[in-house]
Amino acid sequence: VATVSADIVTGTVAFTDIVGFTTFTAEEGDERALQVLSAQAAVVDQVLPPEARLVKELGDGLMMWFPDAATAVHTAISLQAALASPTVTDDFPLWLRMGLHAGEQRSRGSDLIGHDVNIASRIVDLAGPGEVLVSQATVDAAGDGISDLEVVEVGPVVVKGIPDPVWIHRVERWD
Amino acid sequence: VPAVGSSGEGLDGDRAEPTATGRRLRISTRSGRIEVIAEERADVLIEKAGRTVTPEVDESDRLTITARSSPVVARVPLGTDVVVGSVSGRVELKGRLGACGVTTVSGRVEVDAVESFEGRSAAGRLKVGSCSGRLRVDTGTGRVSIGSCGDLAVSAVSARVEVDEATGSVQVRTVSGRILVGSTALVPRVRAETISGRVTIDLLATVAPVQRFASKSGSIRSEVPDAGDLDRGSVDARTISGSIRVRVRGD
Repeated sequence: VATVSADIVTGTVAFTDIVGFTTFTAEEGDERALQVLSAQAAVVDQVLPPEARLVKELGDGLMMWFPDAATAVHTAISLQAALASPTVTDDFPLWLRMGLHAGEQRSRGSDLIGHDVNIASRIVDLAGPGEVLVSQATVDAAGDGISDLEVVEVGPVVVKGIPDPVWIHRVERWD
Repeated sequence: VPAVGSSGEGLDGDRAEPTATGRRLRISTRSGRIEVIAEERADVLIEKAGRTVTPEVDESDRLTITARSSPVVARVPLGTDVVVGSVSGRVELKGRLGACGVTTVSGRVEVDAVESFEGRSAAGRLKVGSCSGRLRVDTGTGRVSIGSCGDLAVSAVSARVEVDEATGSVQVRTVSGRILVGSTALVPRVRAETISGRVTIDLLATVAPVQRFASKSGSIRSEVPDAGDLDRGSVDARTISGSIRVRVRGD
């Protein structure tokens, strides 16, 4: 009988998704779509801190991991700001949405799996273009580390397999 | 009757418009209907499936009710802050409430009057009567109807959105949806972006904002004059293959 073991890690998982990428690809073609992905990759390279890592690409989306929740949230905000800057919007004319959740993950090779990963994946589905949504667990883990950001509770999300809803928050820079 | 939050406890004098209890009510259901009624009262009364229940109260003094398919009815003081969410249950916020948020996958949402509002819907219908402050809506394929609001931020994938009257700044984003916004701002601040959707912004006849447009293969047209002075407002519009129109309001 084969034994499967996996390391348990604690951190924050961030999922991204490019809003409108399918429509854009249909209208503008594959080459232009590849340019958009390249622009996104370049910005991610710039803002991703050394202690974090890009776990994998999921089509036009990304899965990233951070050992620290506050760093994860700040990086997400920086990523949104960088992609919205006038110098980038020609190459990246779409919008990114992001969902973050802090918890435990299990390593499987270079991949991460687990219930808390699934929650992060569920949260990004609720984010609007340009938004960063985070779970209550992320807010709690980040603590005072995100006190310089505006955190607005926006509602619960129901995740299969757990009886209680996950309360989510929108995070952005103060006006 | 286990009512909560009487005698004004939790009042916060530093807030611009404190709620009668200073508390926030949170309700979550899967398919159960949610009805919140703001009325002249000092306490909070909550019924789940027709039976009065006591909500959980956390260290932040938030009241939380969680249900699955059971309907929840809450009677709260005027101006109370409410955050609710459901998967498919209908949500109704009646009377004058404070800062409110609703998240739903496919539930229908109806809101009478709020101070500020943040709505999030994947495919549901969302209707807001009046929002005196900032209104933010994110929707996928549903239909959104807003009576009046202050600052407006709306994003839609392919939904149809209509806003009768926005008195503040306007930010509109859509992939392929249709968005119509009527602005009554004397100094408009408008940002409209779409990939292949159709966006129409109606402005007052007296305005003359700076207008900056960018289109690849789409169409952007304005019948509003540009005075070249940012103090008179701005309209920034960007599309790839969609259509953006800036018109003069008919009224």
